[in-house]
Amino acid sequence: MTRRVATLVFGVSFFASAWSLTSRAMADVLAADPQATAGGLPRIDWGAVRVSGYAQADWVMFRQSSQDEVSTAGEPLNENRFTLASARLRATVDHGLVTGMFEIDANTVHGPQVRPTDAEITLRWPARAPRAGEAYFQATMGLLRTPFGFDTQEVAQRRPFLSRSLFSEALFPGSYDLGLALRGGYRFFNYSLGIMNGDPIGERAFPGRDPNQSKDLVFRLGVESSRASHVRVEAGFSGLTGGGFHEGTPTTKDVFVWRDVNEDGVVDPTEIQVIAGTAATPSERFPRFALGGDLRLSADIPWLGELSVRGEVVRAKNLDRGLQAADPVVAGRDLREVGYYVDVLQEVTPYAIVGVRYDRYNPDADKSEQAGLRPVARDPSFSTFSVMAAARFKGALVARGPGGAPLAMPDLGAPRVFYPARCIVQYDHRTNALGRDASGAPTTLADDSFTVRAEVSF
Amino acid sequence: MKHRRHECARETGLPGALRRFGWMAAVSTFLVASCDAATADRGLDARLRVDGAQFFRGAMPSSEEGGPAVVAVSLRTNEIRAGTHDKSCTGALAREATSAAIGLSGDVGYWVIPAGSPAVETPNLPSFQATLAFPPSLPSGTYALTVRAVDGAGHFGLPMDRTLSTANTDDAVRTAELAVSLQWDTEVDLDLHVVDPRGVEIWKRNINSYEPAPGEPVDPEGWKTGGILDFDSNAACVIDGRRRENVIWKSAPPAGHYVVRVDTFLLCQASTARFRIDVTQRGASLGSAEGMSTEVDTQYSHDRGAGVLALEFDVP
Repeated sequence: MTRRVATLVFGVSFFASAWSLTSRAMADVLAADPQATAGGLPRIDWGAVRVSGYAQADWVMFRQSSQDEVSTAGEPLNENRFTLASARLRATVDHGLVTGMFEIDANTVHGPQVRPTDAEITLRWPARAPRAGEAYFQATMGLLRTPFGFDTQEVAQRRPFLSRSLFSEALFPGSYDLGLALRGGYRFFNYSLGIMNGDPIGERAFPGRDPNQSKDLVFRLGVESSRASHVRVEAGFSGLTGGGFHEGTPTTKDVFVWRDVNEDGVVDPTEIQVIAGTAATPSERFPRFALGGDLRLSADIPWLGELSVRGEVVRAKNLDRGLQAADPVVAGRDLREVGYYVDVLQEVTPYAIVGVRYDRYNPDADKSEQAGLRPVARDPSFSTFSVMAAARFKGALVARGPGGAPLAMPDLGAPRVFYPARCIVQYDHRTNALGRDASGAPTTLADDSFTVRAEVSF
Repeated sequence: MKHRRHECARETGLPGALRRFGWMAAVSTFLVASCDAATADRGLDARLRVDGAQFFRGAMPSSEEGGPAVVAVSLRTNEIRAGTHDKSCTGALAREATSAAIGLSGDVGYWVIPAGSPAVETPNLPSFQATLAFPPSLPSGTYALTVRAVDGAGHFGLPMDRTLSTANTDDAVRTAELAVSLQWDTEVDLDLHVVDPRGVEIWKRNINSYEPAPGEPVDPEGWKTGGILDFDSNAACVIDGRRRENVIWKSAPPAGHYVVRVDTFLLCQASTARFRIDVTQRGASLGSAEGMSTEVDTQYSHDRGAGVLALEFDVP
C-alpha cells in the first residue's frame, strides 16, 4: 500500500512538473519570438539529428578458465578470442525543451546480436544544456540508465577499465532499464529519482520485461565541487527499494522414469518408476533493496595530469539479477549482497592513463555449507584486481554552453571529454569460490585474463 | 603443490612474448598466485568422471600420517559399462574428514568431492555421494576404484579400493560363435535388423531369435541358443553414447543365408550418419559393409522388415 502511494505521488509530481515546465518553456518561446504563433500554431526551430557512436573490439590474449570445450548448454567455453564487445550507434535530436535519443548496440559476446540499449524522451529545463552551477531539471522516460551510484551510470567511452565493477554487473546487469527518471541540480547539489521496471536488459530471467506490477524506486543524491577547484570532490548516496519476482511452476504430468538399479543397461520391469505430477505453484513477490555510497576525489598533478581516486560501496538484499540471481523463495532466506570497489587512476600526459582497481562482491553474505560433520560459514565472494594502461587521443570538451562555458552535466549522455580513439590493455587477477581444494573447501578457480581493447568513437 | 604449479604454467598457454611483457609490467605475481588456484579442467579425457566434483590432474598425493580413513564405500555392482554416466558411489568417512578423493587406477587424474551430512546408517560420520561416469571408449578390463578421505588441512588418508570390471561388448563379440555388429559415427538412432536362415528377424522388438518348433514345449534354456540383440542404442534419441548394437550367437548359429538391414529410426537433428556392419565368426571376419543414413531413410516403415539392405552372408 505504501509503495503504491509512493508510486502515485511520484507519477503525479512528475506530470505536474512536466506540465509546469512545458507551460513555462512555451511562454519563454512565445515571449522571445512573437511570430512563433503565426497561423495559430507555435513554430519550433527543429534541431538537427546528431549521430554518434563507438566501437570496442577486444582481444582476450589469454584467460585461464578458457577451454576448447562446450558447456552442457552447448555454449563454447573458449574465451581466448577476438570479440566485438560493443558497437553502438546513437541518434540524438534536440528540440530545445524536448530531446530524444535512440541507441542500438551490436556485439558478438554471446554470438552476433543487435538490441536497443537506450531510448529516451526527455523534457528539460532550461531548454538547452545548463551552464556550470545553473539550476536544471530533466524528466526522462524510456530505456535509460538506472540512476543508482556512479559505476552503473558511467558512460562507456569514459570508463577507463574494460568493464564495470562486479557488484554493478550483478545488481544492475546491462545498466539500462525501462522507467521514468527525474534529474536535476543546482550549484553543487544534484539528484536523480527513478521509477523503474526493475528488470534491466541484462537480467537473466526477464530482461527488458516486467513480470510483476511492482516497480523499483531508485534515487541518487549527489554533491559535486566546482570543476575549477584544485581538488575536486564528487560524492553520492543511492538507494533502491522494490519487489522481485519468483516464477511459479505449471502443473506437471505423471511421468515414467527408468532407474537402472542393477546397472546392466537393460530395462527391467522392476526398474520402471512413476513420478507423480504436481499441481501448479503460484508466483511470488519478494522485497529487495539496496543502499550505496560513492566518492570520487581528483586533483591535477603537475607534468602528469589528473589523479583520481574513486570508490563505491553497496549493501543490498535480494537484488542480484545478473551473476547469481537472488531468489529468496528458493533459498528459503533472504540473500544479502555486499560489494565495493576502489580504483586509482593517473593521467600520464593527455595521451595516456594508468590505473588499478580492486573490486569485491559477495552475492550471499550468509552462505554456509556442510564440511564433514559441521556446517561452516563460506565466503562466496568474487574479487578482481585489475591493472590497466591506455593510450588515447584526447578530444575537446564537447559539452560546452554558449560562449564555451563548461556545462555542468552530460549533454544527452554524451561524455564531457571525448576520446576519438583509445587502446587499453588490462590484466585481471580474479579470485572466487568456484573451485575446490583437496580438502573440499572452496577455492579460486583460476580465471586471470589479459585483454587488449581497441576503441574508436565518433 | 609443486606439481600443480608446473602444470598451471603449462595449461595457461601464455605466449612467451606476452609472459615477458607480463614480467616487465610487474603483473607476473598475479600469474603465480593464480597457479595456486584450482583449474577449470573438466577432466573429459579421464576414464573416470565425477559429476560436480573438482578435477585434479596427476596422481593422488601419497598417504600422510594422521590422514583420515575411509569407513565404507558402497557400489550397487562392481560391473561398469562403457558410457555409463550415473553409477552411484556412496560411503562414510572418518569424523575429521572434510572431503573424499576418488580416482581410477591408471587414470590421468582424480576427483575431490566435499563430505556431506551423515547418512542414516552412519549417523556420527560424514558421508559422501558421488555420481560416476565412464567414457564410451573405456577399454575392457579390470580397474581399481580408489577412495581416500581428506581432512581440512589437506592430509590424505589410506585408500579403500573397490574392483570394477567392464562388461565389454568387444570381448563378447570376439568370443561369439557368430556376431553381427552395427556401429555408427554420430548420435543418431539406428536399428540393426538380422534375418536368420529360418526367416526369424532379430531386432529391437524381437531381441532373441529362439522360437520353439511347432508342437514342442518351450525350452527354458532355449533362449541361450538364439541370436540375441544386446542393446537398442540411442533409442528415440535418448543418447547413451554407445552408437553400437550387436546380435550375438553364443552357441552354433543355424547354417544358411543371413540378411542384415539397417533401419534409420531417427537422425536426432543430425543431417547424416555413416555406419559400418561387421560380421565375425569366432573372431574371424565373414564380411563387412559401410553405408550412410540420410533424412530420407527415416521416412519409411520402422517395423519388422524395415531398413536398407546392408549385407548378406552365408554360414556353412
